[in-house]
Amino acid sequence: MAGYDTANEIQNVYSSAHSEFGVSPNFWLRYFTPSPAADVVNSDPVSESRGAWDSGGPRIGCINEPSQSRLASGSTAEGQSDGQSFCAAVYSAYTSVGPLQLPTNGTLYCWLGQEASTSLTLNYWNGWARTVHDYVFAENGLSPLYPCLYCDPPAPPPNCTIIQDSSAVTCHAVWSSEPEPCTRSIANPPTWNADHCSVVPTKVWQYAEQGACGLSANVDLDMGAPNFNTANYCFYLSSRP
Amino acid sequence: MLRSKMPNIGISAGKRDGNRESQLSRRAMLAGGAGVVALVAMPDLAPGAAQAAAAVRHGDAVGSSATTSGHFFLYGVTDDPGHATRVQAVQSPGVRSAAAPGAVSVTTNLAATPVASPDQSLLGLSVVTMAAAGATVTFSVVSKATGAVIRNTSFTIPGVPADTGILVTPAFSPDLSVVALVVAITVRTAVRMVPKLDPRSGASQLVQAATLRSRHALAYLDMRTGSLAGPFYLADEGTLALSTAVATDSELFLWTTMDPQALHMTKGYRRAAPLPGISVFPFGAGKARLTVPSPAPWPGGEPAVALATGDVARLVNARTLQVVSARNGDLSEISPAPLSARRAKPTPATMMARADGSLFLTKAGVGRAALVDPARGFKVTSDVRFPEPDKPSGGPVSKAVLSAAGDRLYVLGSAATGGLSSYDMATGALIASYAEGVHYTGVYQLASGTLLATGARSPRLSYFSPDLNLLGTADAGISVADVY
Repeated sequence: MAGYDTANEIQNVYSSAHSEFGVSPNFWLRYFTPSPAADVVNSDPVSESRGAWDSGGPRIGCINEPSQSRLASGSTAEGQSDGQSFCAAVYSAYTSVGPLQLPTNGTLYCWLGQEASTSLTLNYWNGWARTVHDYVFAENGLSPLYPCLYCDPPAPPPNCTIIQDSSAVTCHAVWSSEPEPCTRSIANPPTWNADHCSVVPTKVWQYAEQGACGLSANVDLDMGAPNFNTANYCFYLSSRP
Repeated sequence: MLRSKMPNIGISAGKRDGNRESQLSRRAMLAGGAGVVALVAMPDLAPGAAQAAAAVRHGDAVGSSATTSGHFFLYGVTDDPGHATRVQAVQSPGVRSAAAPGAVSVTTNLAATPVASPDQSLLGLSVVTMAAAGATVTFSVVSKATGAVIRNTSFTIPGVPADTGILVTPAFSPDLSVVALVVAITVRTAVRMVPKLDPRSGASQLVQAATLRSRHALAYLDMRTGSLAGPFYLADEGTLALSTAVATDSELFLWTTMDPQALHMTKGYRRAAPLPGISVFPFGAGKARLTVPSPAPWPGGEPAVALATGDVARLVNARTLQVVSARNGDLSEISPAPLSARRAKPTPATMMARADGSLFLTKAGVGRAALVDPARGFKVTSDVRFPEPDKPSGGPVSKAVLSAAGDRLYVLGSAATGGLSSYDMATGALIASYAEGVHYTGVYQLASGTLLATGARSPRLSYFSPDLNLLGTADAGISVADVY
């Protein structure tokens, strides 16, 4: 049950990823605005969705990686405004692509990207996570978004201590970037061994990063925790757009 | 010299009696415990700068016309008090004798990430306080040379609820005559209970939900007189709060996006996603003289600068320059070759307009730094390749800096070795390297010419001479997000 994350458009990378790893991914984890260092799904959601369908992995999960200095902000308003744009971007993609559907379990995990050397504050997290948690799709009145955190749990800057603070808005899952065994396969991913926080469970593990592991295709490799199917917490495509 | 009206911003706000000063600052910094966001002034360890810093600590330089206080500003998150502030010089005896406790002033209540002026000489700090009368926005401009607050203004946004989100985005004009303030006002509306699944139990429960509604206001601080024009409330309710703002010497360029919910977008095949718009406001105006659509992506943290030509540029997707004509809003896209490589991870790029009109571009995640000349069709005039550093996507964003003369590039060392390296900007040749196994997270050049490398583990500040000799290390008790 492994898949890819990428800061590139799916339609531009899935062929090279297939050439390198030989099988279709179970899911794609992709960036939405505001993620200024990435290409974002909401700029051309139809082409992106076609790429996911054509890749054989018609599931798209949602990442938000704002400028990393903003995560260190003491202002709830900065987290709120980033969260507002992110939710709008997710909703915009959803409405723009007819076959793009919410998960059947009603739970779309939304990952805030905190890189290893980035600090996270409680005010920023609460501004972002509250906005994500409270967001309602006007289309159907549903509230399907759940705030989660991508991070390197053992890294020195504040991460786990923030999302596990007693006054923190609930973080539903951690996606860990460490350790990196660099297993170069999505058909046979490594045995689950992701780093974790003490309370919030790690549900997804990035076990091979392109740069650190020397992968050719512009993808990183990810897998879900035992008994957790990451694809079930992503958008799915009911047909080719 | 104007003195700060804000009691806790600026070096001048600190006590200046040796160690007590630092202790008081530390106490203020840690008043909220670990995890407090702080702006801290730290001493430079260059010999001349250290003497100037000592003068500041003893009250000799604050408010004077000194060209350097020997300080720089750290912005970051405090850790527990067990991380005592410490500065240690390792080479120069002069430095060693001048070594002193680090943090000398602090503020902990900023409402937004600090913003530096295009020439890096000034720092804009925003504070928002909520009261029954509304939200009061206070904006201060700090001189990095003296550490003093040189301008301070405030205004009130009346009639907003206490939980209103106020986001202040300052934009300095390149000639430093005006600071345009873009204020996003976000109100929680339609607060109601909605059913939401508890993913742990699978049960549906009623939870509070809300719809955020944003609009913007503009204000203009005249740096010569200190007078404020505005706030002017834009008729743009239904936009998203996030914007990108750039000031030329006479106008503000503002990118905003409509909220798709406010556009009543409903699900349908191939319905186009909303595009951002660019509005151009003459300084002092609350109405745009020009509004044109912009290509994607939506605004949100991308680098943007005013060009010497009077046009403006933003760097999107970390590889494409979108250049907007100041005359008519026409937009062109340029993709400088040094930024073209892409990676699986987000790979931040930086852009800085230099005094000679050139643009300094970096993209450490692909190991490139370049100078381009907008006056010559954005021709690449220098292009340096270097090994990609370890974990280039994280903060601080500054992984490569250009010397003031523009002839030397300083970058983080490779993922294999860490440390720092310097390159000849004209030839791309490696000049020097320093490595002892430490992977720094950011590099800056201070006003004295000293290089400052930030790290994730204590001591988190390392000072280097321009020829990459280690001068000393320090730790301010904060996890550094940025350096000014």
